[in-house]
Amino acid sequence: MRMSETFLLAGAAATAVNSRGEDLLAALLAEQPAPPAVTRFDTSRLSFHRAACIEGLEKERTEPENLTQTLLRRLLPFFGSLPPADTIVWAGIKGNVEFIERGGWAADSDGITPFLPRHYSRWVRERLGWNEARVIEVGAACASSAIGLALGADLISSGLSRAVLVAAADIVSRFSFIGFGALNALSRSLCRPFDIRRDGLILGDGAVMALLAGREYVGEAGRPPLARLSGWGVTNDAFHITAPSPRGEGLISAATLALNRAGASPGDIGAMCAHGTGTVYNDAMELRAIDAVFGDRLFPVFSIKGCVGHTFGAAGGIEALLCAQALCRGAVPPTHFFEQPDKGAAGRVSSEAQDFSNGRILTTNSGFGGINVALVLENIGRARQP
Amino acid sequence: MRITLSGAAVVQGERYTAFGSPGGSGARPAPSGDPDLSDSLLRLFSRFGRFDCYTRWGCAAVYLALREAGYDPGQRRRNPGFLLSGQYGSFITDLDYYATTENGGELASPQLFSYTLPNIIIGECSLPFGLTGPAYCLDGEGSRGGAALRQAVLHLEHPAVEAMLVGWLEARPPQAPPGEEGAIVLVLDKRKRDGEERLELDAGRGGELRFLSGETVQGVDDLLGGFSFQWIPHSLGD
Repeated sequence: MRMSETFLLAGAAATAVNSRGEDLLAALLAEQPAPPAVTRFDTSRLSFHRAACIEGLEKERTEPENLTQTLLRRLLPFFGSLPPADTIVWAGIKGNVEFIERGGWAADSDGITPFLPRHYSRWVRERLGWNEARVIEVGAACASSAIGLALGADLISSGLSRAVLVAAADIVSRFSFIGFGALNALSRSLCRPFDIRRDGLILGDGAVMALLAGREYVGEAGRPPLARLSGWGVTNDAFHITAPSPRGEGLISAATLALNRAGASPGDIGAMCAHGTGTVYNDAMELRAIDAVFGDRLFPVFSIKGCVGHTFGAAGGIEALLCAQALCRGAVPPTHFFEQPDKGAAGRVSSEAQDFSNGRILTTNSGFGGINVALVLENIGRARQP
Repeated sequence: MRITLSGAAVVQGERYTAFGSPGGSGARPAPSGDPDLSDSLLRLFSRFGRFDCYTRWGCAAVYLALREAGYDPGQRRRNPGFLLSGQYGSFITDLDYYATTENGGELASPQLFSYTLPNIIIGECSLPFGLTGPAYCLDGEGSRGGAALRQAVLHLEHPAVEAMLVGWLEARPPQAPPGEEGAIVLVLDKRKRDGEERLELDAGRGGELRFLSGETVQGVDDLLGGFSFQWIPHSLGD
């Protein structure tokens, strides 16, 4: 069967360093302060305090919408001029968290409550006015929006869809902050991905909307794509419900599948955006997987989570958009707060921005439940920006 | 591509059924070597007795469907995957976990927090059965499990994936409007074992699934419709 090409046509992301969807790569290339202590809820009785929250979000909220929707609202204008997509994939994982915390319970006019993922996929459809689009919801923990992109690529390449919008937003909540703290996964200081002294992750607010399209839709939209999504692979560790496999075989397999689908060899990859949560176990697993896939080759590997935090279900989509920007500029951002490399990180991870020349970039995510996803994005000849 | 429905199971609060062959007597009672389903499940899932009902129903349905499909927990297949649909997901556990965060949160339950994602049940089942293929939750409008079925067929088109489990799992919180609860799991296999009567299906371009008669499969209920159920009473807890 002939497979159609899949393009990343448009996208917007909001995090603590680009809270209204401004240029994320430019923000990450600039010096950034450490994420501050949380003020959204009380952390005084916990050992963990920092998170990359977006300031002023609460003041913008209008009932009955929640912070997830408030954040997503900031991204909607980026898509107003585009023809409707035929599929919307919602990949946020805890859009309902404020309602859980508040204990309220109310249904929409059609009986879908804000507790359900369907509420958010429909909300995006309604706000964009893409009324004919079918909605799909994905739940794959912190790999959700990356899985959404892989799913969208499956739909487009097989001819089932012309254009797929992947949307996700998750906010730093008391629910998740305390939970990750209880798992001892939060940093007591700074999140330092791939640093030998790393002691955990920092959570962050994040939202992403990324539009994948086939060639026909790209022509109708009349704008050049950001990148080609040429490879994707999805696997499961089958090792533990929350801990990654120390051997990294699930991630190795996902990366290999993505490379094969892209028709690329490891030597064709110019840079890699790692999941890089800053936890001891995740980063060790990733470094082992990178060694297994790339051998002793030294090339730029980076993580943005020290700066923007772990943005839950939105993380993979945000990172894929950033990779498209990095392809255009031929540079990846620094891994903030990285100082002393762990084994396998030296010569790859840097606290400085790194240039790269190959026109392909690999981005990977892993999540609870053992899920792994790898995406290969390719430069499609857009002029490099300074 | 020809696909075989090699096993299926339905679990509800006080009963279950499982089958692999269409048109016959339907479900068979548990084999004599497995007199107590709960014991078997406890052997596979050490924390089964402490699972919430969402996880319990899902794990039981996966076990039963794979048993009917001839999958042995010790035997590894090539990258079987699992797509699970449903709307409420882990919501019951979300509420239970959040209740443990009272006061300052320092006594919150890490165990309960681990189960506040709908795909954790998939992770649970991946361990004993080696589900190393694409495995995540996926739901959509239309027929129950329809989006997951279509996507499963797309995954099966990849040579690296030998089988896909497709399921529907719902545990509704007390505040939710009334509706169906329970678990349905189907095993879609790319290979057919000789000498066994199994339901065969045609997978067309773009994830379309059809009966050999040409009728399109819209969702998991269409596939269950070809079987006669024999319910087996068995409480897996509420």
